[in-house]
Amino acid sequence: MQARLPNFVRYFFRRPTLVAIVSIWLGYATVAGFVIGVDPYDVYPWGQRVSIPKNFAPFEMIRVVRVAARDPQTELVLIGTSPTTIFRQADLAKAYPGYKSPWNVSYHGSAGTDRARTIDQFVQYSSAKRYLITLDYFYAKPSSEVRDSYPDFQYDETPLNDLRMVNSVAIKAAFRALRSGSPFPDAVRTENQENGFREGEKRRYQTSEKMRRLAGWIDQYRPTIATPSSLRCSQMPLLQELLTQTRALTKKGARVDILIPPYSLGLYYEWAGDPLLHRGGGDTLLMDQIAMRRCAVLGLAHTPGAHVYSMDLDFALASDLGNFRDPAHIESQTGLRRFVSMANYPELELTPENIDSYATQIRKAVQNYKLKNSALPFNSRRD
Amino acid sequence: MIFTDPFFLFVFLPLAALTFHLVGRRHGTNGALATLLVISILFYAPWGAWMTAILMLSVCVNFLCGGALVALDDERASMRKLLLAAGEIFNFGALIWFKYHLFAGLVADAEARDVAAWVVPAGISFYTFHQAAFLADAYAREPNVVLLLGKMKNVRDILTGFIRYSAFVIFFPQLVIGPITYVKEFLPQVASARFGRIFYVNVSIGFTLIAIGMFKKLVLADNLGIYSDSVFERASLRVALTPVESWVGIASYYLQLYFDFSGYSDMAIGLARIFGLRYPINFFSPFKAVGIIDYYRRWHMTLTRVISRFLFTPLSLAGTRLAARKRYGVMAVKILGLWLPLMINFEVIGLWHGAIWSFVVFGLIHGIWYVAETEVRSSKRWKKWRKTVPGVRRAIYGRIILLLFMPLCFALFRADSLETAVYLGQQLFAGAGAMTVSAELQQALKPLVAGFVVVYLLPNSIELLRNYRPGILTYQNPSYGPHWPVRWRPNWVWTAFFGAIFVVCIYYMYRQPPFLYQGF
Repeated sequence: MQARLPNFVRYFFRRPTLVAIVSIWLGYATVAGFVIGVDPYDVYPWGQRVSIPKNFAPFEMIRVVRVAARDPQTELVLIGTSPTTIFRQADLAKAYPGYKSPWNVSYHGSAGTDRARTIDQFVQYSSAKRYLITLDYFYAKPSSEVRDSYPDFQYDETPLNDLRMVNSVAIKAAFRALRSGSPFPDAVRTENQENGFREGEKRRYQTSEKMRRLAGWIDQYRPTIATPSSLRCSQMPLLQELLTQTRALTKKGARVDILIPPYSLGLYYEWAGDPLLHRGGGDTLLMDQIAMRRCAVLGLAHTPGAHVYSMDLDFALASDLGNFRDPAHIESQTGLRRFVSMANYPELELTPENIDSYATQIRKAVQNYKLKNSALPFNSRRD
Repeated sequence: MIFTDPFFLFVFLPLAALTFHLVGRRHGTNGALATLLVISILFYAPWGAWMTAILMLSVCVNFLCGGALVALDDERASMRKLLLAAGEIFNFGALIWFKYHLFAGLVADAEARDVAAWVVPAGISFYTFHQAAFLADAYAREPNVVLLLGKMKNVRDILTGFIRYSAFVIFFPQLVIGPITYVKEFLPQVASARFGRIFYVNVSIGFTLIAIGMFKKLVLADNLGIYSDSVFERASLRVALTPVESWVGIASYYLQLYFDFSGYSDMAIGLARIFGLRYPINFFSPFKAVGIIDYYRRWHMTLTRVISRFLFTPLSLAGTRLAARKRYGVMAVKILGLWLPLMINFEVIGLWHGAIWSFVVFGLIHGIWYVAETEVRSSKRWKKWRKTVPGVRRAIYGRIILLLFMPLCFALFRADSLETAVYLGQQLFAGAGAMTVSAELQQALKPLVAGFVVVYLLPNSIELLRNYRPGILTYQNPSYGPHWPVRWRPNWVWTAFFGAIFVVCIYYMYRQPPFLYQGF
């Protein structure tokens, strides 16, 4: 005799779509509940207590900005983008020995708006005593962009979009957090990933072909490279926000050092020739950057505890592309040491008194630049 | 909220459907409509309080105008005309004000345009068209509009009428990007005794359409967009592109826009169906069309019919009458009665997308193309040729012409300026470099090939579900392409298939690029 199925089974058997919907819903709810419950990025008051290794800046740093901001032990924070991801905790500790548990919160590909949101997390939650913030090129942009895949939903006030956190990366991170306490792959793997990325970039850029191309751009753009900028300070909304955030951090008693990343002198020609790199900066790129730096210096002139530093006037370093993996990323050990400890050198500080002289020297150096690359058997045709 | 947001799909929608069902069972049609209204306001609210306020103001003004148009008797014809004019001026005035900032975009710089674009209330184009059509119907005393508004003799009647009208306009599946619906399509369904409850078959159809729409948007459109965005950005920066890169970028955008918009429409129709409402379909395999006339009967069909009803037909009638009154010759009749109305028609469609020159040229090209095809198809030579060439071959020729030129028009549509479109056009034939295929380009070819397979070889969602009448057919279009012997049924096999598609879509759900037409 055939066994009679329970009514609810027969009900669902005749309604496959309901079974599918309920299954998908339950499956998703389970996964979402798991990720949000474990909370691998420490967004909520509950969940797994995660420990983020501070000895390197992982690729997924964007996801743990709040963890870094809430860390009560951190006294020194470096906030930057690709030129500073190379620094380890030991580098910061060595450069600034008086501060406990320093943390490098740099991530690749910062585009502007995400930087402001990152700093906001520190303004809201951090009790660090000192901040090093890089004054990157994007602060001169009149409009702002967000880094691709920056997890806004983790840092905004509404919980309605938090389900967007549930993806394959977060699921893996939740399992790792349960297993090892850290949402990231082990340090060796992450470090290899970072090193591999840098090596790849260097290999792609440091070629005779790229140097020949740059030499051509130098010849082509030299007459227009110092075209005056029409940008006013009020037309740089990101910079204005940075100044406001800097003041807020100093009001909390912290010292804020704004570091201008050392760019090669060739960068301005490289970006003028390859508009994809500077997203349409055009002929005024150099002077826009100088204008932006001037606005930063003047804007923070009366903010106690805030300082702006630049090592761009070290032309021996900046003129030789052999010191860089590409024109925007310094790689030489001497240069990196000086970069990370820039705020220890009063002579590198930009002030309202020396900003004009600084601007003139940079402009002249770029205008008169002759391509040099000690790492390649190639030099400018004019050398 | 947007349809592909996990919060919407996994929290908002189930709760909304459950509440609708429970209230509908207990309080009938009016209770169900009131629930839909509240749900729809909650759906819209995340766009901002002032946007919601503008929407509600617009609904109130149109309701009052519509009510007065129906209530005033025919003896007060001039008053009714004045009221209609005032209502339409309010609608289109608000649209123009918010969308174009009185056409400042034509002269303002890019930054000013960005700001202007940012403050455009979400869905204003679509709810304006909805309500403009409603006022015209109210003026004509269309029976369904009269029924929708009710007697309006006491406060209760007015409130009931308002809830019905608001639910019609604000109903969340169609609020932001359409489809643009008429009262005569909405009211008979609401008046049905079955309205107000969730039925299994509707849920099955809705789920399937949502899965199809999500697949189009999240898997196809968003992956196609990665490369097309890159190519158009490079073009806007005047970076040299190879011809292959340029063609692939343009083709990717061609498919991206279609899958993005038709994906939204499928989801909208599916969501409406869950609540027991059949909505008009917006797309019917437009890329299989055999010419631009056929194309516009298949692309954004609900906009085509609105524009055709309220712009083309009155202009054409006025032009023909003028030509007849003045006893103009055949050519003048053609120009005034057909060519000019068509050109204006397409210019308005172009400018509706935004006040930049590339849209003006887009409208111009489409107008000329449409006029030319109309003339060719009515010529004696065409009629003679048609008799000698088999239909299949003619259709193939037509599709080839469409495939050659329509993607270029879409490139014009996508480019941030006319100069960028021209630059990209130059790269198509004289771009730098050889026929190199980069890794990025190889990656772009996968969704492109998949997209073309879906477009040309598979049945569209309406054909697949046609045994269950998934939507209202706006135009009667023949089905093209391979005739698959399969029809969707709410059985285990189809459920497993679309369930798997839904799960694949979940994988991509963390990315949330907005629907492209949200900007319009």
